Formats: sequence, C-alpha cells, structure tokens
Amino acid sequence: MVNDSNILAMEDIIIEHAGPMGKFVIKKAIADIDSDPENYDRATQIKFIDLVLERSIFDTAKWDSLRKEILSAWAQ
Amino acid sequence: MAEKIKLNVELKLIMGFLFFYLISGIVPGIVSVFVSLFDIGTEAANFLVMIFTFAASVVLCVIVGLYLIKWIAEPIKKLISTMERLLEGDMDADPIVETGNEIEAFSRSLARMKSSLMIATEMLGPSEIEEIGPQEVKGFSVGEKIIFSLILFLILNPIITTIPIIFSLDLLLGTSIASLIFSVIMLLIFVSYLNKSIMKPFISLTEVADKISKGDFETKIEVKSSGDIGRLELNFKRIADRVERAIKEMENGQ
Repeated sequence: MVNDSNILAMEDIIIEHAGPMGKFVIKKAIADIDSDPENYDRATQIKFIDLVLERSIFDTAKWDSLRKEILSAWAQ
Repeated sequence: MAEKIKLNVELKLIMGFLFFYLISGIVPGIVSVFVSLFDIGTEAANFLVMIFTFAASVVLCVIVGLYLIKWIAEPIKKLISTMERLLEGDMDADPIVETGNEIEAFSRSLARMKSSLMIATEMLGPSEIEEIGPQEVKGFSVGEKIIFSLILFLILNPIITTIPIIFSLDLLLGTSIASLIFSVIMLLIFVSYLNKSIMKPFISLTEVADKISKGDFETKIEVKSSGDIGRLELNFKRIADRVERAIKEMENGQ
C-alpha cells in the first residue's frame, strides 16, 4: 500500500531532481495506473515508482539510486 | 546537496579584497623600512615607496581580479548562456556549475527547472508552451564591474596608502598602521559596493529560485537589477513562467 505520507515523501525526492513538474508527474502516474495507491501491491508499487522515474528523471543512471531512496523513505 | 555549500560568494569576495588590502597596506611600510637603510634622501625614498606600492597593487589586482572572475563572473556568465539556450529549446545545455557557493545553489535550482521544462515538452510538445515577449536588461556585466572596481583600486590605493608615509617617513610603524587603516576603509567601501550591486541581488534571487524550483509559484521574481544579475532574474522568470503555464495547462487538461 502507498499512503499519503508515502506520496509526499516521493514528491520531495522527485521535486529535488525534477523540479515542480515532479508533483504533476506523480499525479499523472497515479491516474494512469487507475487504482487507489492504498491498494498497490509490491509489484504495482515498483511499477508506479518506475513510471514516475521514467517520466521525470531523464538521467537514467540516477534511477536505481532514486528507486532505493523512495523505497527506503516508504519503509520508514 | 545544498547543505554542502558552505563557503558563500560574499565571503570569497571579502577574502579576496582583504588579502589585497592587507598586502597592499603592508607594502609601503616594508618598502619604507627597506629604503630607510640607504641614505638616498626623503624624496627619492618616497618615490620608491610609491613605485613599489603601485607595482604591488598591479600584481595584487591581477591576482584578485582573476580569482573573482574565475569564481564569480565566469560561472554567472555560464548560467546566463545556459538559460538562453534552454529558452531557445536546447535541452542539452548543462546548468550545473560546481563552485561550492550560492552560484552552485542557483545552478541546482536551474537544473530542476530544466527537468521540468523537459517534462513539459515531453507531455505537451514544444509548440504548446507559449513564448514570453523579448525584453532586454541593460547594464554592466559582473566581470566588467569587478574590472572597473579593480582599476579604481589600482589608481586610488597606492595614493591613499602612501599618504601617511609621504608626510612622516620617520614614523615607520605609525605610517604602516595608518596605511592599513586607510586600506580597511577602502575595503569596506568597495566590498559594500560590490555586495550591493552584485551579491545581495544574486543571493536574493538564489533564495527565490530555490522556492520556485520546488514548486512555490506564489513566490515571484522581480526583474529589478541591471546587468548580469538582471539577465539572470529575467531568464529565470521566463523559465518559471513557462513551467507554471505548462502545469496549469496540464491540470486543466486532466
């Protein structure tokens, strides 16, 4: 499951790299997955993160570390 | 990343001029001690002190000028050029400058805005982002201001620092101290000029840019400076405006 505080933590990380459009990319990814983030299973969580990274972080070398950073923020 | 940026531009500026003035304030004293060892007469001694002080000022001006241009003027020039390229749609322009000060902090805000511009272009296409009409900012560049200031120091400093020596060559310690006091007064005048014309508006722009690049569009940039800082303000405002309109456009399209 991905709750509101997880989304906020993700926003902080993405905005730090992608600027103000990061927030919109996250909203759009949630709309495209077309399911309540609270109901995301582990696979959907990863799909969601990857979708956001693909659309907002153009330097693919950063994807792995950002994915880890987001998952680690969610685990706290 | 921002936490790592500790040595600020203002401090570098003051350090550069402090170095300049301490050395150039000490030079007349050292030279006058040296010439007092030889019996060459007061006029010749004063002349030598002036010449050596001027020579030391030239060398120091070049050192301080190169230092300030490398750490302040050149990175700002690079940022202006990067912003112009981004506004023309060249997304290969790299905004990051690694100076370890506010200029780097500003470049990181610009990098965030560049990413947002790229996202907007990916999602909306380049034609859907409206252009803002051209507007020019006139005035001297940061490099020119630094060079003009140094030329002025070059003319004034040897005169001011040698005045006490000309009037009392026998009081070596006293004249050196008086030269230093004059140097410190000059330092305060010129640092406050460069601080007011370059650093204060730049630091204020950096703070605003940081807020905007993190999504706070309530914060607005006012183009109120002249020269390079005004160009930075104008170009960042244009980029912010594009991103803000792109966000509104996408929100309306949802």
